[in-house]
Amino acid sequence: MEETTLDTVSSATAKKPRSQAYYTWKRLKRNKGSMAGLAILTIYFLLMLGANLLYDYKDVAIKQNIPARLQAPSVAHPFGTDESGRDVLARVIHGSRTSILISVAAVLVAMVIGGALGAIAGFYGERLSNVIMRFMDVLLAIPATLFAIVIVSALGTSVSNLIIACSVANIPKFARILRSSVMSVRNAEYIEAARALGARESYILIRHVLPNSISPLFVQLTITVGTLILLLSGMSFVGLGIQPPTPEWGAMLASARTYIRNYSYLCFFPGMAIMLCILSLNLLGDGLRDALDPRLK
Amino acid sequence: MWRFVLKRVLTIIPIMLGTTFIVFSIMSFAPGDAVGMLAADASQEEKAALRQELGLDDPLLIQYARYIKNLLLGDMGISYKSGAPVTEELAARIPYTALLAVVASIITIILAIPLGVIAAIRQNTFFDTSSMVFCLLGISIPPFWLGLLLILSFGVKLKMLPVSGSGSWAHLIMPAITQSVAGLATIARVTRSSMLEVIRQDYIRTARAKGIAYNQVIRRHALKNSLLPTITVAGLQVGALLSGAVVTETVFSWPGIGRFLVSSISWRDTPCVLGCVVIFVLTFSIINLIVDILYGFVDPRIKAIYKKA
Repeated sequence: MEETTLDTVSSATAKKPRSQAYYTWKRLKRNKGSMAGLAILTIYFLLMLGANLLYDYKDVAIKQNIPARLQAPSVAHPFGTDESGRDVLARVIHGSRTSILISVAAVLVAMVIGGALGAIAGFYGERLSNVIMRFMDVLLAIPATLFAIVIVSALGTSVSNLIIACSVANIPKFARILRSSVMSVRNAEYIEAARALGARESYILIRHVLPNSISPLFVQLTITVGTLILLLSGMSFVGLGIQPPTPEWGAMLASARTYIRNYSYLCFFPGMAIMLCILSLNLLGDGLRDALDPRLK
Repeated sequence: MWRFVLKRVLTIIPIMLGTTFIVFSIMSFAPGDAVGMLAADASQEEKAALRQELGLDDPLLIQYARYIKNLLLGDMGISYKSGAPVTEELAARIPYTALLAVVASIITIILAIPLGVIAAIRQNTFFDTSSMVFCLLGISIPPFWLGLLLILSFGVKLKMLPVSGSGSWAHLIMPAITQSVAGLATIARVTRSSMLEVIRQDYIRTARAKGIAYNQVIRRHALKNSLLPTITVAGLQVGALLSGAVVTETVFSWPGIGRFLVSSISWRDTPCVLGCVVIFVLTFSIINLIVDILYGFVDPRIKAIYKKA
């Protein structure tokens, strides 16, 4: 009885409390660059989803059509056709699936494994933390590109190997970020309160510590997707990533390189696709970082 | 201070052992077998004998220990492809990669720091906005695409510079630009944001209030303090330069280690691949070491921590 009256009083006098995500989104919305980035990413996402509706994968993006090879951009082929007569626009659109899906999958793997290791290292005692973080230091001492190349050269260039290659090198970054963020939360009063109420340590970690320390990971997530798209296309460019005829931006640039003297348009569009994608991820990442920074609140 | 340097130098040993071990164990999964490559026509018994002789039947840890022992003696094995010692193959290519990395680093540092500093002290002016747009494009453009665009415009269309290969200073220009743009943009961004933080500090206001000229305040008071994050990022960027060499050297057919690594992988020349990676990883560790020590010298707070210890 008393509770209901209290409730009505508080809702009448105070404003309804909003979640942290609401305020972050409100701040993010004010950043024009981020919104532009988000808009471009939405277009990429829609093209990725609708790729098969626009252009058939087997008939247009893969199948060779020699009579129509190396045609300059026209109404029928807005981006022209490549050395095998395939529509470049169709391949750029289908290429977004390859590049973005592999990069996102690799980032998620890295975030889950790195995040788990970082959370454990930050929450449980010093000794465990030391073991995990020293191992992370060793992984971090190998440049990411090189690490990915080593893995692919040993295991081969299948999609799953590429996901492993792209994710392993990024695990330590996520581990470090979450560890320091967990460490700043773990001694807060509400954690002590939960402990006093008799909650189990693992429950506290998952229900109380993680939700309060996870936001820096999202900034890293956006930026890492961009880095990985760059890494993946770079590896495909030197022949260690996605293999032809699968459409992938870096691989398309590698084959376009041969025709750079007379058919330079072939080099233009796949590169533009990579750059726009990474640019919008960077814009979004920058805005997200500012929006999550409490100093700007 | 020397204790700090010594301590930091010693930490590099486990890191180097750890990284080379990880790379060595991953490479042990690599296809291609020394015996199959060296003695393709031999009988089964001869192959087995050769395996024994080369120690390929030993456990991984023993093989790794042997590799490290040989590495310390300057022996990295024999290339499957050419039959020459890997160290010789690498020695012929290291100068090219080093030259490219040094020139690219110089371009990066010389341009990035002034760009960041000027953008910060003229915040929200046209210069600031345009240089930050340039930096955003710089970190977003794929280096191999930038390389292709440079080749297309300065090599193919304007015919001002050679499109690939090495031999003269003209050959160096486009690869060096390609290598430096991403680092330049990153370092300029970091310098700008750290400078922006520093010039809002009280001690800068105090210095200005004392009547010191603005330029001098920036040079004497702000710059030193704002360069700390820049040093860290610059170190990381030099590391990125090394792995960026793989792509840049492929675009411009530059005869360095990066391109050698790619061709060794396609030849399944495991000793050469391992050799290239070990060289890269060791260089990266040494650069990180130098950056850390430099940091200790520049930042009195870090020096103080080690003095206490």
